[in-house]
Amino acid sequence: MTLIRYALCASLLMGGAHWAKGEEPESDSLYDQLNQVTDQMAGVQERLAIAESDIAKLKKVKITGYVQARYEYHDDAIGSPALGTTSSDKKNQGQLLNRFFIRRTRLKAAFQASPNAAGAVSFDGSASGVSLKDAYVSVTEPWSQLTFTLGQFNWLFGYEISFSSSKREFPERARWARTLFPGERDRGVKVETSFLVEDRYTLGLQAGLYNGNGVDDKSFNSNDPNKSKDVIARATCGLGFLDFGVSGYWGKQFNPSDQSIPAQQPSTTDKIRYGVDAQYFYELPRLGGGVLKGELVAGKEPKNAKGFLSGDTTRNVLGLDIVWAQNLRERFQWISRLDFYDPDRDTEQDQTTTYGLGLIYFWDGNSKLKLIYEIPKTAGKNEVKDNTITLEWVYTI
Amino acid sequence: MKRITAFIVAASLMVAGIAVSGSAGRAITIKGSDTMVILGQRWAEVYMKEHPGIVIQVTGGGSGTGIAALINGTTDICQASRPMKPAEKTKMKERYFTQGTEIPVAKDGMTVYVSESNPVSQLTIEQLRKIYVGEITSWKDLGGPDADINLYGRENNSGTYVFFKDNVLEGEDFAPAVATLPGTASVVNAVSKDPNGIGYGGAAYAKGVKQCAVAVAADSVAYPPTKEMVENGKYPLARDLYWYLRTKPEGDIKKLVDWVLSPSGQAVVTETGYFPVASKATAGK
Repeated sequence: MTLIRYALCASLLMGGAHWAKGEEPESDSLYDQLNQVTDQMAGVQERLAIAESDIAKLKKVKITGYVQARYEYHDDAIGSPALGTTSSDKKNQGQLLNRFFIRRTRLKAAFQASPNAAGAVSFDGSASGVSLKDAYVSVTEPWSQLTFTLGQFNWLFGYEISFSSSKREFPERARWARTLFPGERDRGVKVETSFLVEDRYTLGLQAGLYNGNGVDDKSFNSNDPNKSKDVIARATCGLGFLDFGVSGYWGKQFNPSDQSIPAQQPSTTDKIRYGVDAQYFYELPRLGGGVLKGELVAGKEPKNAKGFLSGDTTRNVLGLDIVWAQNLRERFQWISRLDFYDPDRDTEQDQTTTYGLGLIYFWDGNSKLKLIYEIPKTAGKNEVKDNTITLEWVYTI
Repeated sequence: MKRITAFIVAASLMVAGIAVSGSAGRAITIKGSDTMVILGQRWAEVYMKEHPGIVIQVTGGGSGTGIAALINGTTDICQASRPMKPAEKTKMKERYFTQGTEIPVAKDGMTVYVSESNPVSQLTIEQLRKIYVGEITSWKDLGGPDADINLYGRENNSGTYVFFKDNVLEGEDFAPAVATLPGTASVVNAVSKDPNGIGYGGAAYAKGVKQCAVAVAADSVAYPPTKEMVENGKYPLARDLYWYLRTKPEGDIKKLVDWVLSPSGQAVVTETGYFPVASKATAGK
């Protein structure tokens, strides 16, 4: 019996040893595999952290842009609504012109590395080539919350000049804006701030110092057209349902052709503009929101901007535009506009009033189709046949 | 004259589309806050059961995503765990000429989660700020074990992220060490498995984790995110949860909003783990 017991114990021990022998390599293998998986996970986590860091950097860059593809059908072979011009040449009258073209192709990259510093650059591509539209750096002083911007950016006069063409109801700005602020941009510096008062309304203050003649001036890329700088100031108030603002522009017009004054002391003429603007928002049952908005601008300009002489006089200009836009439920919008511009209030029969009406169809969140009919009327005998139908597709990136 | 006629014909054709672009008969879409997804889904389930023929689709994505969808016209209702930002209101105004209609539909106690095994059970707002900006990195500094704090948080399109950043971090950036997760459920899951983890999110998700009491300052009483403390305003991280619409509610959407604000709708809020809003007049009045 004792022998049997010994034999059993020996067998168990041997078996145990064998079991232990057999298990040990398996345990090692599992341990190795676990280590391997842990290492792999650590590697994945490391790569994920790098990827997250890269994505965080990419999120600081915001790329936006839009395309305005257009079909125009208009009466005058020379006049171009896109450029805000009409022709008075009789031979062009009544010659129907229709054409497809790309009005604007914008691409803007904005980078915000920190809450208090940002930079942006934007380009426009059109039939005339590629041009720089915006290029600026902005810093916000944390304590006062004043934002300083230096570079090339919109003139801060009125609301429509800085309102993006991708969002504006009518394809072109009002005639006074196209005439007095061609290109809508200039180089300079501006400072701005806004306050939220009693959590109910917003007050905004802006002031800027600009070269003066804007991006469409031929000497723009290389020269400041005159020694003095033009000043613009603007104050706004937003009540939610009613936003309004006042703007002032004090500048000098350089007169290179004025031979009566030595070249070292070129003559200049005052260029002064004042503006008020207001936007009233409302909501109608079933149809949705609507807006009634207008801008009134009065100013003093050199009588002949190109060849002005010191002995010449200035002219008083007046511009007004009123827009009524109404959503027709979710996808449609009715738009209408009265656009008036008088280049010289002391001269008769030079005022132009353009009546515009149209519909916007919002295809989706990024694109919309506009159909617009515009009837420009010039006072008295200068009236020309230059009505226009515009079909425009705007796609926003 | 021919051109005017052509214009009017074309315009009429476009306007005719209005008749077929109505909302009658289609599903009501709700999109936005991940914090509110379970609440929105529960509302939809109960409402569809009580109103056969109405279809409601609820998806998440974050408050920012929901507001963008509302502006783009791809959702009827946006759920948001934070108020709309001024820039978002501007976009809404530019497109729809309205500032959107804001309807508080529930309250939430933004909860700070730690592991059930963690001895730390209360924190001040200042301690939370220091933890999440990376100034306090060990539980030892908070009366806990000598171990590194593992931070969990949300992505920046989340209203919860924005609320926490604005109300706890005072606008400062989160520490780079924060692991950003796609939803509150993920945050709760991560913290429940990590003895040294800390996370934040809606009270309704707090399962398998400990909810910390929060004090305004070191010498203040710390209050837990209970119904009573949220409703009486003592819990310092209580917040409103919103529905946003493009215009004042009408038709089926108005009926839904009125129901959500009614005792039946608010009962769902309580069942789901959130807190009801004070009884108010129905929407759009």
